[in-house]
Amino acid sequence: MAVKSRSAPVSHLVAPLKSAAQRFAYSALVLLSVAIMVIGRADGTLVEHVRTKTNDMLAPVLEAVTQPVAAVTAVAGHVRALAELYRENERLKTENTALLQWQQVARRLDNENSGLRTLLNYQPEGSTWFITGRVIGTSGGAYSRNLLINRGTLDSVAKGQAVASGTGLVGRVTEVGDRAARVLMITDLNSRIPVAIDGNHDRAILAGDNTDRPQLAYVGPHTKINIGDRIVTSGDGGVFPPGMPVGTIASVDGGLIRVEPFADLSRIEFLRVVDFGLAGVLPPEAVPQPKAPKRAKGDPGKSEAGPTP
Amino acid sequence: MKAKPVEPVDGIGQRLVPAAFTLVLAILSVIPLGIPGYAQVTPNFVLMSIYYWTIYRPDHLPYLVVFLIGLLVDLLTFGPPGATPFALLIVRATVLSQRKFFVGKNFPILWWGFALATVAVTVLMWGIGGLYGGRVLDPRSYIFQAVLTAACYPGLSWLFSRVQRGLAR
Repeated sequence: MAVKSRSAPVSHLVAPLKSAAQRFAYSALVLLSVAIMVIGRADGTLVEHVRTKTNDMLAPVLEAVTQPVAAVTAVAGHVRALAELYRENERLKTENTALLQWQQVARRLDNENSGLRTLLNYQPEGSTWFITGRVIGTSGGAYSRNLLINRGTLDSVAKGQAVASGTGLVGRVTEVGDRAARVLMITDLNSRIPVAIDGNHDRAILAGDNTDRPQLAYVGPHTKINIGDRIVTSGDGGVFPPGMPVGTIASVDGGLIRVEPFADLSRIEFLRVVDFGLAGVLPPEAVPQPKAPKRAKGDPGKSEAGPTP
Repeated sequence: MKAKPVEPVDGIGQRLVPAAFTLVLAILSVIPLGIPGYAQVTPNFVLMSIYYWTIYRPDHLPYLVVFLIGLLVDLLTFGPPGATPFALLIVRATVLSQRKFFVGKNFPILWWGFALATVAVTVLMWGIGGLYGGRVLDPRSYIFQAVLTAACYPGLSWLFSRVQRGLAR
């Protein structure tokens, strides 16, 4: 397209050539885009490789940009917290009283449990290991629900590991680079988590559908479901250990059961990647054996790694 | 907002501004802001940038740059790879062909044009996403995102025009 208004003699020659070159570039690049779509659909690993490399390269940039944003969010949070200090304090006092009672119960049960385990000669499960990471990227669109975190293979993060916030399951690691890893959240369209209804051990699958509340699918015909029931991981498939808190039943509408996750998925800043030493259903080559973290851990508060009891 | 004739002589720095702006916006689109629900309906800032600069400085934002930034968006957002460059290239070509109509028009008409481009891109991305995932996607997030994108355009357009004026001086 001829945009130059000056009529130098050369432009008479150059303009059509430039226009032709542009048209060629356009056609070529559109075709290339289509080719990438087709290849991406056919060969997922290639795309994953390129994506991992890109995320690795951009991880330091994203990390740097995220920090001031996080600081501003923190300040806003402080102001909000100050405004609600009194009410919050009252609420916490009540909650604390209730929790102290629970603590007594938990201590008693823990004692009883360890006593019974000794009696049964029970073998404890493999040691768990975790590392805390910061969220440095979001899905930025409607297509998927995922997060990018600033931990990768250098920190012993591996594909298939569970990712949790302080309150509940967030998702699992699906792609991992040296410095960054992609977390597929439980709300994503492609997320399927084997779960159980806490208490009666009825199995189901928690299926994300890109809404805030994932669905409970493949529920047995005789399963009783009440609003407020706790949903935990069932451990089927061997990706997650049994009993990780996931959420509560939020609504039952005919056959459509929705679960409200415990973790506030829209506002996660830090989360924990947990390795339970479970290889699960993923192919063996996709699950590298965890090794000691290579990266120096000199930044307290951001990184903590070690065995959990 | 009056369009200036395209100046043939520009410094290298000025030539890079549209591309640099678009790149920065692509990265900012995935930054977690801690606003509930924001990640799913993040306005399409890259589209705004490409629309604006295609009208005012098309020679500074060539197809190759549009393609590369679109691809970067797909890699960063976990979307179907190739879909964003595909949609953005079509937007650039369409806007370029209508450029004579847009240049010099007052802002509501430009905004209307942008809203149309947003609808087209949203339908395209929704369709490709569905084909890629093999199922019909819930259109609600897409609709919200489109509305938010169209609503945010005046602000960003104003910012771009300030930058452009600063460069022309």
